[in-house]
Amino acid sequence: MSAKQENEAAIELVGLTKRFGRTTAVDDLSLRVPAGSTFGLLGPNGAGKTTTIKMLMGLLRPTAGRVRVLGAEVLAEPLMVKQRVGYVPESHHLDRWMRVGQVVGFCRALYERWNDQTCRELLELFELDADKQVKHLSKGMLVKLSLLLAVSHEPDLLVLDEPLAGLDPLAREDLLEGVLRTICDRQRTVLLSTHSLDDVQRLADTVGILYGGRLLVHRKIDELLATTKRIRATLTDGRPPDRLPPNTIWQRVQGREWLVTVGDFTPDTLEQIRAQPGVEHVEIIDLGLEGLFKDFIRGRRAAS
Amino acid sequence: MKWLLWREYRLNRLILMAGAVLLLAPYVVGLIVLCWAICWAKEPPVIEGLPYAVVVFGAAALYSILLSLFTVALLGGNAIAGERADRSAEFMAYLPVSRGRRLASKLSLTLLATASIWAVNLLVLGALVSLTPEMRWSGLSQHASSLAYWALTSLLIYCVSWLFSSLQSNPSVAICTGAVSPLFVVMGLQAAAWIWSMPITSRFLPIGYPIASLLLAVASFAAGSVYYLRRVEP
Repeated sequence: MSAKQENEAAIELVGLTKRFGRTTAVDDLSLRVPAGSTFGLLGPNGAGKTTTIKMLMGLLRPTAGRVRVLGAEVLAEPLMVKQRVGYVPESHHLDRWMRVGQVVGFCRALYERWNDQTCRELLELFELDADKQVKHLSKGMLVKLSLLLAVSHEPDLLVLDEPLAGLDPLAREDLLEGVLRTICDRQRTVLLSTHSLDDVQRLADTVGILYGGRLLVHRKIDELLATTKRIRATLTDGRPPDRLPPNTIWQRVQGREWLVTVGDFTPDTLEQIRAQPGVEHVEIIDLGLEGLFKDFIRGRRAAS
Repeated sequence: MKWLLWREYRLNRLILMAGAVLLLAPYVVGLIVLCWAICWAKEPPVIEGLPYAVVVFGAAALYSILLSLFTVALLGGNAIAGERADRSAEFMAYLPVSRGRRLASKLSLTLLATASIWAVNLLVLGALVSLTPEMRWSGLSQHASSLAYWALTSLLIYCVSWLFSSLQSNPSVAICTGAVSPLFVVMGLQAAAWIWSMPITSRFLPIGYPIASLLLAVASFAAGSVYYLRRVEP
């Protein structure tokens, strides 16, 4: 990602809020995704990921806040945004009676740009039969067709909402290959919302964790993994210290074992923990994205 | 626009087939009646001085126009709610096509279908009138006024169906509401006459109905279109 790209925001959400009656699905969410980056949006079910994406795509009107995509207000210039954004939704509602070739022809007619070569290559890679009706496609094939439609018009931003859910390992691999090809080609911005943390770790450079409609964390993955550590300590009397380390994300005491996950970890954090009365045998554990995600969510659940 | 119109045609293909059946059914029945009369009657009957075939096909044309009211209700009710019901509206919502163009394609299809139905029936009526000089002046004015009422009723049904199709996602509700709207106009007029103690003269309904229908049709269509164009959600 170049410095110029980093300054430009592909996605800019400011104070975004969506309420459905008394339920707040997205609560005062502010987020900036630089152009050219791959952003992984994580969160448990009901965290507000799909609602956020739908507002991003102009498919839902926000209760409050602003959505800018590729420099344009989504609600003010929806067509311009849709011309430049590729979207793979969570549920695929393509016209079931159309044949694959007809869906491609239909979409091709609506976009200003369309790369026939990319389209052909992906049809081949995904082994999609142009004569097959959409209603006869498997779930995996539907996702592949959606991805093909989303990238063939060469979008500047690709939004993928749970594209890998329910796919077998082979279909998943094919799809990821298609996504990787898209990311590498023209340095597009990609927003990937998924529960598959391994895939996020593989594809994304930045990650955001959403919980209860609020953004808990938004950082580069490498940075986050390097600075978030779990510490295992043995307690002499089974009682955790009164003063928790700064930036504690989550903690658990089981017998004499104390597990605590801290953000912005430094050697000083370790010294502080060691200096606490009743703490002995301190050990640092490196976390993967999955462990880190779980600790963020557990910590927030415990706090609320 | 060509692709949008094609999609609309495909989405409404069953309705258009039903429309074609309703268009032709009265003629088929007329043909059967005529064959029966020719085969079994000793002498083809003459009604009010007109040949039997003219009466049968004239009636068939009028019934065909009457039946087109159902087609119009189906087209109006299915226009927007239909694609919401099968959720293909969500697919259309993220494609770069304006609501205005989608609305234009839906209207174009209805206009084409309705114009075709009316054109066929008016051509038949025109041919019958031109072939039988006896019918020219006596029946023409009477038929022209009833055709005008039916055209207005057709417009009312379509526009009310359109409004309810735009407001919600159940095409059946929209179709039924549109289909019964003329009854509500008549009942409304009678209730108004009763509330304001106006005499229901022989001219009250013939004048009140077209005015009320036209106003309701225009208001329904405008409200449905504005709601559809302004709504963000699919």
